[in-house]
Amino acid sequence: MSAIVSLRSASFGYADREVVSEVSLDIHAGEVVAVLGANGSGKSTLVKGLLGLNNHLGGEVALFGTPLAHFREHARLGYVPQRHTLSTSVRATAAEIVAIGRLPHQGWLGRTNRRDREIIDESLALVGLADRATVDVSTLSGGQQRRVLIARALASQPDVLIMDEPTAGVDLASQEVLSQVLARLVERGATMLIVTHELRALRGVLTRIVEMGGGRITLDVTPAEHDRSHPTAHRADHDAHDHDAHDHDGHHHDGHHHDDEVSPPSPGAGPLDHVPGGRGA
Amino acid sequence: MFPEAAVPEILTYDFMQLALLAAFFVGLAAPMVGVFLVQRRLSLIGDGMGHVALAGVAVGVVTNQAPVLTALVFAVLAAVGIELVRARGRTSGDVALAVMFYGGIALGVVVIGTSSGGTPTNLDSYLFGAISTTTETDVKVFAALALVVVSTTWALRPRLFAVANDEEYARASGMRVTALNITLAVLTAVTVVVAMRVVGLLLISALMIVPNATAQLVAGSFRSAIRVAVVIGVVCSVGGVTTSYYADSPAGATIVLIAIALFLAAATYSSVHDRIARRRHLEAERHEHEHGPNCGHLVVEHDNHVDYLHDGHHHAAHQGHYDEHDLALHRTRDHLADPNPPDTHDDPLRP
Repeated sequence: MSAIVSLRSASFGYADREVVSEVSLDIHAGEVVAVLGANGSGKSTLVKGLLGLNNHLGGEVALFGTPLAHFREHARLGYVPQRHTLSTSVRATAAEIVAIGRLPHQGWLGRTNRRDREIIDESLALVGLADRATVDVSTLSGGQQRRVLIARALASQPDVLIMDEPTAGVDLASQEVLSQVLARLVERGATMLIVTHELRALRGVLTRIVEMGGGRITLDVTPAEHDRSHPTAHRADHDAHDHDAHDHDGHHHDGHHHDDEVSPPSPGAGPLDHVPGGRGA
Repeated sequence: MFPEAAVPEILTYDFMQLALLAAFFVGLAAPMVGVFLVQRRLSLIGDGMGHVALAGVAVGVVTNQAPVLTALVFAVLAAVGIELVRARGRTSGDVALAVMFYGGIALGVVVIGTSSGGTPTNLDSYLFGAISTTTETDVKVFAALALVVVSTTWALRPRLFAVANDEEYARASGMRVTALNITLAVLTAVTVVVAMRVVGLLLISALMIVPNATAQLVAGSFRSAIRVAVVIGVVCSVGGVTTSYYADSPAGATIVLIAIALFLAAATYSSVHDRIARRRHLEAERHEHEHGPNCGHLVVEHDNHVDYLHDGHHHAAHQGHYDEHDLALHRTRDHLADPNPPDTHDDPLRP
């Protein structure tokens, strides 16, 4: 099976300023990968590069076996941006926001049919917001807005979810719910790439941890290996600050996937594959 | 056309029929485009385009071209320029827009003032509107342009909404964000020109924005907000022209004052409504648990929604929280017997 994401000495940045350099990484179906790193480590630039939101400056990048420059099936990447990208200047219901995820699958008029509505409802139910479908998103809490953005990504029926700091700036109660939502998606065999500051809310769902520093990958291990090399990671109050304080020297891995990792429940299955009249219907 | 007795006096004049038609088109198109400007927090961009269109009007008057045509060219060029400046994302973009807008209005006044035939007063009918002097040709042009604006906006509505809502996500999902933004800017420019004879270049932005501001106060979704705004826009523009006929007031300014009166009425209604709703509605205790189909709490169908039976209380989803509902009284509770109900998520469920 070809990798979902395949990078060979890839570099990304803005204009001529290279932020991410020489990154090699393969992500396969069913993997749940956390990309860790301090502010400025290049972790957001890396995922935004995959999404075509900045410039690909060098090396090879392939998505689903297609070189990035020729990749057009954007709906296969379900992007969950940080919450502040969501404009709340006018009224919009949660269902209206989630419907945006259906646009790549619709004709040029972008009108919603019954199957679209089923998928929208299903996506909202998956993130636990079925009873808030008609609520104005600006009245929702930060964590609930985050989940609306996850539902929007799910509605595009992606093969991989790419999340930028899904748990940042969310209160503890909402973090719990977010963890449950992520666990539910993992149960369904979703492939995920999660940029994050902290691992606490993601414990138990990850199959792999990639750390970045100075625009390069400094560590690429399983969660168990990560725990062994970072004893403090076991502490419940482990957070971004003591994490960033670790010395990553000597942990420079080759960035290639370890084949002996946890095998996913059903590789390649999208989170919404069981929807009536599902994918490709 | 109609038997005399059945037609109100206002409709017996050809110029008023034309004026009302022009007003109808403007009232339809302006709020439809405007909602996306409000969504993108660009409420004043139409005002800026009006400034640039004035330079176009002046050039048209001086060169004996149709001012509508030259204004259209200037406004569309300004629209494309604005989006290109914005797309570059420089912090100085704001200043560049100011230079463009004030340059436009100053150029218009100077061109008109230094030409032999024109005086700055020629511009008044464009600045503040002069609907009763609209010719049949004008109305035909306005109708065609308004039709283009309305149908394009309607067709692109889901994409314009997506881009205005979250530009980064739209870009990541493969939408042509810059092309859509330029399209919206051009639609705005065309609307400005269509409306300049009706409400005037200095007031057109009001008709794009104020009906939307009103709709935001009373609507519950984007979809309904657009509809409400378009109805308000048509009511204001047609109502304004009618009022101006009987009250002998300038039509453009009358339209805008009616729009603002409706906004103030809606604002008053919505604040009273909110206050009553807040008094009648009681939020449930904050709990980390989120109710759902398999959350373990008994589900009670109640009116047209679902309550979750949580330690004897009925919890119903409302905005970002849960409300306490009293099933017996069929309304939200005024008080709770126990102000600090215990956390009972692990307790066996009570029927």
